[in-house]
Amino acid sequence: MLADAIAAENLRLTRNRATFFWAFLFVPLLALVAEIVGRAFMHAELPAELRVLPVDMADQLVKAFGEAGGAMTVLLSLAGAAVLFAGDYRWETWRLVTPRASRTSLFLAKATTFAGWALVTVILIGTLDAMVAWIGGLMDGSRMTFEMEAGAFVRQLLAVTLVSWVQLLFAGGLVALAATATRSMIAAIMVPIGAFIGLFLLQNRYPVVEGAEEGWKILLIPGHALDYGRVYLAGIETLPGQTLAASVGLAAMAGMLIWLLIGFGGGLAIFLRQDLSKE
Amino acid sequence: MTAILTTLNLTKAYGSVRALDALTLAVPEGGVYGVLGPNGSGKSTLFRTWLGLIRPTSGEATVLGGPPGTPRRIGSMIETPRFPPFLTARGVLEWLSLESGLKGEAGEIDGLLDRVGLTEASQRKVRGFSVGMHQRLGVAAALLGRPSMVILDEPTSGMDPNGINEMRALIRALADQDGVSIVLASHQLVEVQKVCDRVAILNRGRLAAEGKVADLIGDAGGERLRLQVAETARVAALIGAGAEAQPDAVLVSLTRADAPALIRRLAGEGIDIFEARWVGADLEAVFMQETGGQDAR
Repeated sequence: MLADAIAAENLRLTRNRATFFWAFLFVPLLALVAEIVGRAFMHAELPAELRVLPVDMADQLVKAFGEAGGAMTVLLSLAGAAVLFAGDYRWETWRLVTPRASRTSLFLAKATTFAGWALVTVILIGTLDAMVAWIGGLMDGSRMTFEMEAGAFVRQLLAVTLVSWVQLLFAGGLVALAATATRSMIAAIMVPIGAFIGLFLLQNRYPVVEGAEEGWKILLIPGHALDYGRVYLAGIETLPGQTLAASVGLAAMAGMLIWLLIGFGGGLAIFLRQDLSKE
Repeated sequence: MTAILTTLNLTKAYGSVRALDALTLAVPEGGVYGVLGPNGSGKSTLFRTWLGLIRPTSGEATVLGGPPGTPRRIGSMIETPRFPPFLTARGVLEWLSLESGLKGEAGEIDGLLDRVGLTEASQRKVRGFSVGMHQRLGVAAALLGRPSMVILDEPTSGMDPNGINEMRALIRALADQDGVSIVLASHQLVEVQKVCDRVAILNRGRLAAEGKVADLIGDAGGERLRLQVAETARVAALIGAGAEAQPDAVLVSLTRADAPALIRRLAGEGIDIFEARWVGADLEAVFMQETGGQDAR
């Protein structure tokens, strides 16, 4: 049942071509174009001896995947999530599908579809970005290096990819909650944007002081949870020879999980109890 | 008699307004069952409760023996359906088929599009569809997966006379040839009388009448004399027993032999009679009687 519902959501999303393009394909293409323009500029402006500096592909890949969940990607993915979660209210199509399918599987299908395309977006951005860096390096005659041990590289790549993905999922969760609570497409986009601004201000108002017992900030402020979660999972050294304490890392992961639960769990809880008389 | 849909003391309140008020009803399996009622009588609320779209305030409802809101192979169309505007008619049925977990027989979608007369428009996006085409597509969507029961709210709304005839024929064929139980709400009483086997008449969320269409019409009292007069209440009072005042006429139950005497008496009382004719009882008469003459919508 869930697999069918996921296939149905994918069919409907991908046939909504304009929204699908802007939500999930535009940012990877933009990243590709920006990287090409940047490389072309460097090729034209930098002296030849600087252009041939070695390119560390391990670093390029980790950086590209780590930046894939940036503000632009989050902002445009809100549109995709809004169409998925608020579309049935806008088109009044809940009444067609809810008598024949379980509400839980309908909602989970939307969440899974969003999660799948969000992951595709992250992978596309990271891959295209790194690919242009590689091609640019080859054109400039740069030496390609790989200055990270295989285990560390895989761990870092997976960690930054996961956190970039969670950033998009966090946005999708807020959209799911706003869409079900308000039944409005506009509110499904505007409420999360407002929440992001508020949480960003909160993150800057309550910075985490290194060494202080401030796990609550990491747990409750999603920006901190994502930053510290990335560092912890990637095993990045905070000081020479020193990595993040396990308690801080676990607080960060719990924080990420809590915010995903608030979004998707809250949306599902409302949807299960909701009258769908006027979508 | 096996009941496919039931309610027991079902109440749905919106604040202080009771859309359904302790309604008890059982819809039998097979045939075409009509639910009638004026605006705000609770028809749509009842359908939405059976389909699990809304929760009752109190009381019980069952659908095919189980509680509403459990996924079942039932088809439904509530009011004029709307669809994602970027999908084609075929795309809508493909999407709904998947969303409902129906594997679907080969050619089912083509067959349904043909059955509702949308074959030529199957590749057109629904954003350009008329209300009647939306209605036809909604019926096709309700029939996906060969459901044993179909609930239709105003299935002919927005259709032209040809479309209404085709829809009536389709509904009867589904019931008579395919054995599908059809439950429909409509404000077109003539259509309901032509297509339904049994009806329930709701008024203010309560059951006003229920039974076979023929029995209800028979109970309403055969042939009556319709007198078009100006002061209907005064004329009805003058006639006394057997007279019923309506907004623009008085309906009188009497034999044909007694009619001339009555007309002479009224003329003698100075009553202007603009028209006098015999009318047979129909569902409209039953409806007016049970709902106090409110609009059927």
